[in-house]
Amino acid sequence: MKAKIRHLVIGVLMLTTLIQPSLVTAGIPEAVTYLESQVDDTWITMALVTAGQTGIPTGYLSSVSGTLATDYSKAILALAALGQDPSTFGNSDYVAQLKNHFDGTQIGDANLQNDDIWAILALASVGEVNSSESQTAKDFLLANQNIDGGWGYSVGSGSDTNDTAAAVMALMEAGISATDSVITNALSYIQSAQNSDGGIGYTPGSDSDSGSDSWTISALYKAGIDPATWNQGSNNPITHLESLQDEDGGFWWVQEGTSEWNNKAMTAYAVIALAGETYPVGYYTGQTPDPDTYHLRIEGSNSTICDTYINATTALDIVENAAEVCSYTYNIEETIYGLYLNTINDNIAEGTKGWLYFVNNNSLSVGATDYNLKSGDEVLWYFGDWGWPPTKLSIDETEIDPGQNVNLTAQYFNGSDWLPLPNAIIKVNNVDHVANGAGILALEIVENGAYQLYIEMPEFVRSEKITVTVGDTISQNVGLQVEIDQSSGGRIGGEAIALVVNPAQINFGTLAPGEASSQTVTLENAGTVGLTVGASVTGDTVFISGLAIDDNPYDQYSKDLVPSAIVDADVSLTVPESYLASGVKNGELIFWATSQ
Amino acid sequence: MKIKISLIIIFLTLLLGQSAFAVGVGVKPKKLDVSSKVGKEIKTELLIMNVDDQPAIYSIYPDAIKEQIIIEPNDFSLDANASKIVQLKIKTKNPGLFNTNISVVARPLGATGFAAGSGVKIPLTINSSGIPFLWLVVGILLVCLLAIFAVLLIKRKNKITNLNNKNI
Repeated sequence: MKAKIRHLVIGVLMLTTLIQPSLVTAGIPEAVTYLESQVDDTWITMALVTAGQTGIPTGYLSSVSGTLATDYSKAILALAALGQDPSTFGNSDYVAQLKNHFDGTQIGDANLQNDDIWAILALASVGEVNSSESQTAKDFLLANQNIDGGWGYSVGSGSDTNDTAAAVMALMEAGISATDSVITNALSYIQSAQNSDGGIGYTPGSDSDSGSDSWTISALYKAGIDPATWNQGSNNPITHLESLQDEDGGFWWVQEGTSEWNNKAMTAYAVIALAGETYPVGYYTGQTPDPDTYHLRIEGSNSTICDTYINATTALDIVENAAEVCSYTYNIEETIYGLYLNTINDNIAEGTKGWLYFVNNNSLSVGATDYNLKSGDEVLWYFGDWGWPPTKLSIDETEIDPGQNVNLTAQYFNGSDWLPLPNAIIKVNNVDHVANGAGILALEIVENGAYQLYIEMPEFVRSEKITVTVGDTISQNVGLQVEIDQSSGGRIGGEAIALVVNPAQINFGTLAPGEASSQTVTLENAGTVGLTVGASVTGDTVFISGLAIDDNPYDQYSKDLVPSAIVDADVSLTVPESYLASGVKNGELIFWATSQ
Repeated sequence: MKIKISLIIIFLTLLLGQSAFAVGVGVKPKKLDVSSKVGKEIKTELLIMNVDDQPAIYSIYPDAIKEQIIIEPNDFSLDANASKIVQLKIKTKNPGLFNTNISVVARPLGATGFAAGSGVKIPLTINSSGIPFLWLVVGILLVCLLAIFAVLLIKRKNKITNLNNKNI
């Protein structure tokens, strides 16, 4: 008997041991594994940062050329999270590019609010939350808060929890207190969309989803509220979000099996929320000191060839290391005196002219290859004669109003001190201005825009450039014209196929067996080729058996659309007399377009 | 008074009905023709565009030969008027001409109840050349068997020779 009991206990223990792994839910590490298997994007980068990952790929952030303000906002947020400078990291100054979308009253598309929200967060991440662009965008959002306390994606649209949560975070970054009625009303709106499963719907009454959970959790953390206190019985947004995680680590959008549209696109947001993070995920606070990175400037005969920070060990290999970054060619030859830099681009050493270098504006008596760089060293190479002194241009203000004066001071370095450079020639967007005998110039700029200023004169090394911004924005109007050929070329050539369906949600109301209801759906060919449009239906049998389009069964629907054509489709539902079920039924109708 | 309120409710219902979400999807190019070799992975791309003024979720999948086509990413959201390039990795197992569609579906974030989605189907034609994977395996097996047979034959021959030597 004892043996039997012992066997039973051992059996139960073994069974428990076997079952236990399947009861363990996935967590952030599994989500990180899932995200790392996905194509890089800004949200994934931010999520990996919050999860404490290192060596996160950044290559895709080096070239951002979007047409939307949010393209730059997302890149800025990701770079700030990585501790990188969004002004210098990529192919352009992303912060300046974002500010270029400011029209004086808001940022980006005047019809959208979403792009203002993310612009504020992006500017906050680089310490520019008090800029006029950010504060004006804040006022724009405040003026467009809906009566229910929320915000929608676009101006005048109904509120949704996702945009409202993001707006809460943006406005708090912009200085609105968590106790302000703007924030408390917004949070009340979000709470009105909480369901009995503890999760949050996109709008009140809609099913809970991981995106809405995630944005809400991050907004609550921002407001200093523990999301776990938003209880519905034993459920809250966190427990609901956790319930959506799959074994591979990804987070389903809605409960598995409830929608054929289900996907794991919200996983990055979920990781950020469950890590207790809010937006911005990180802040860029200035140049990260890197003991092996040095400032290099190369002044050619006619222009500046390079101005960057780069890893190096000597005053010569810094030129080799920066060649790719600054896109120049060079040649170093071996002579009896050692290695000698004789060419950069088309500036070839000849006669008395050659390539010479300074470290911290001092000419050194050792060869460049023998000078080991020390922390804080600045290397300047110039093409000219030996003995040309370096110059420096100083300015009292870099942001002025049109018509306002700036005071410029030109100096040169004599080997020990900076001295006034009399009658210095100062280039202002390539137009010459001459300083007085003390090297001083009072300059009036009347036109809005961005101006580059530097000293360039014979027998002196060109100075570093400084930028002056005149007016509220640095944008200037330039007439542009181009003819686009869609038939070939481009990374992805060929014609585009596009279809817009409006509305994307159909409510047939309450129907009894035998009754029918219909709604009109508009189809628009938004592409460049003719379309043939068909339809498919999934979901409850009432839709599969009773749905018709233009009085024909949906699977017989076919409509040809020429480019830009807009047609109406009459979508009707007849509940069969034999239909026995009751309650709200869900389904989906997809209009499929194929090119003709 | 009750009639007035009813009229207002009907008006608001109609108004809200009109302002419901739209959803749009654009894809470029309109069709894909690729040539490949059996067992060798080739890559091609599709540009997915949100051609509407509302954000939406996008799903991309092949209608057939799913085990030979990987799409990355295959689920993502796009802001209004934003776009994303997805990569198709195709690795065929047999030679021949294969046709399927790449389905791209857009759905608005806030859709509930009975939703209407917008989808496009991009015809994909794969011209695959080379030796079928199964034949390749059978061929390698045959070569291995022949090699084993040859070794055994040589050993047997040596054994017979040795025996003959002993007999001598």
